[in-house]
Amino acid sequence: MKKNKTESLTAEKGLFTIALTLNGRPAEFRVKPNEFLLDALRAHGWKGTKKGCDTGDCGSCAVMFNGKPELACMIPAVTAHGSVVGTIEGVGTVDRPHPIQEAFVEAGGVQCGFCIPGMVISAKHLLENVPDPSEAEIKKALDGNLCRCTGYVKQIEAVKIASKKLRTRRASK
Amino acid sequence: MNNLRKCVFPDNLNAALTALGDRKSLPFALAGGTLSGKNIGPETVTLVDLKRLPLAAIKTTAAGLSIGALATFDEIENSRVVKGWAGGVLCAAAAKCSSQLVRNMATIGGNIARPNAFNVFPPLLLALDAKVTVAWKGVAKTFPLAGLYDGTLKKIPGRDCLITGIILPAASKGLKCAFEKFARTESSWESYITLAMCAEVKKGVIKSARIGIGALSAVPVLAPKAAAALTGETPGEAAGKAAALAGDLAGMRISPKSVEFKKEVAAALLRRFVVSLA
Ligand SMILES: Cc1cc2nc3c(=O)[nH]c(=O)nc-3n(C[C@H](O)[C@H](O)[C@H](O)COP(=O)(O)OP(=O)(O)OC[C@H]3O[C@@H](n4cnc5c(N)ncnc54)[C@H](O)[C@@H]3O)c2cc1C
Ligand code: FES
Ligand code: FES
Repeated sequence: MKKNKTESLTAEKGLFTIALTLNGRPAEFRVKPNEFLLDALRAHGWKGTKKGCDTGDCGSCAVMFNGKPELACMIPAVTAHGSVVGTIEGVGTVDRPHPIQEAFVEAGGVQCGFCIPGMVISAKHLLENVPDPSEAEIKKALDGNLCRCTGYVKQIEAVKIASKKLRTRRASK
Repeated sequence: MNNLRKCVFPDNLNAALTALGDRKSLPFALAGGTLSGKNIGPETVTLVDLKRLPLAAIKTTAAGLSIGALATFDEIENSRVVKGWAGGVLCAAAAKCSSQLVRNMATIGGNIARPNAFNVFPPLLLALDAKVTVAWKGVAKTFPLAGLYDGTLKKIPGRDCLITGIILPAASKGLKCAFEKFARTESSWESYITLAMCAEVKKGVIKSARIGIGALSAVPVLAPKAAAALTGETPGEAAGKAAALAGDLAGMRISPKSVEFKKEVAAALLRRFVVSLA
């Protein structure tokens, strides 16, 4: 969906219409000029992505944006036009959790859960690129995801468990 | 951002400069958006999103190391070319910016475009004697980094013109560099002092030095007195102590409450660097 030509969008009746790929499917949002992607997602029902600080500091709004975890609270919604966006809803569901989500539960890495969507997004990107990361690599990948509850130890453990799960799954295929 | 009526997504430099050149449309350019995304004022009617421009390449050229303005901190930190250049000092500086999530978005062009005391790249690029290329409709100019801040450009980057890239002169084998952001925590944006220190060492003697100071003024400054004191010296504790930096800091407007502390920290960091050159 990432387009390769000069485009422009004009607001009509004070709203921009943006087209994006969201969790693998085409989507169209009508967004206000001063709206950010985080608010646009939540307003359109994608509430898995959380708003913690709204200043780029906490990482609870992390989404996949054109292949990398980015902060949805810092992305003017109109600039998401033509982008490929992935949210926690595209990772796993309550019935069919992703192995990373299972690992967070198994390790006891979830307390209130507010930071977890962002953490899982960052962890998934890490494990897709570094299947067997060192502890330092895990800490670095998650350094923008703040958690007020856990103290991080169990979340780092969760990423190690997830790494093992995913490698085992890959080997058995 | 309430007055935004149009958003342009140029995929080539010409189209971006045309969009910025249309002054009547009150344009403003945005790259990663981590510095200005939240602060786009009511004077902006057209947003020019730079993200599709092919200006993120990092490569060595005959002129030296060339970094596209849209290269992100993450791309710079993980670039093999940059890792092998001047001991990887640019990677070290990129890693000092906030968090992985910010580094995935923030670009080097956005970091240097406007004066900001705490941004990591301006003092380092100053110490490395970097040049920037700036373009506006029909014109491209390359000049030393300081030209962005001293008024000679007479244009506002991101409104009237675009930074397209940064060029660093070829690094000699004897070039040693260090970047120190002395802050409360690893991820703090604000630092007490930022020092970028570069020295050319040949046959055990410091042939030249350039030291960039950040965090104490809106724009980074060089420390010519300390650099002169180091030139011709043998690296080690004595040379480090003698250079100090106090002379260079004396001319700056630093709060009297913290000036002694900052002088002491600066002296210690410089001494550590000079000792490491031995
Ligand atoms: C939580 C948080 C922590 C941060 N911590 C740090 C830190 O530790 N160190 C640090 O240095 N910075 C930090 N920053 C600031 C910011 O991330 C960087 O300064 C970044 O490099 C800005 O780049 P950008 O691409 O996001 O710029 P943008 O926000 O897109 O733009 C910034 C300005 O530059 C102009 N501009 C952008 N690109 C160009 C171009 N190519 N040509 C001309 N003008 C241009 C824009 O018009 C705008 O005026 C932090 C930001 C946040 C949100
Ligand atoms: S809500 Fe985006 S970083 Fe906190
Ligand atoms: S589990 Fe509560 S903020 Fe992380």
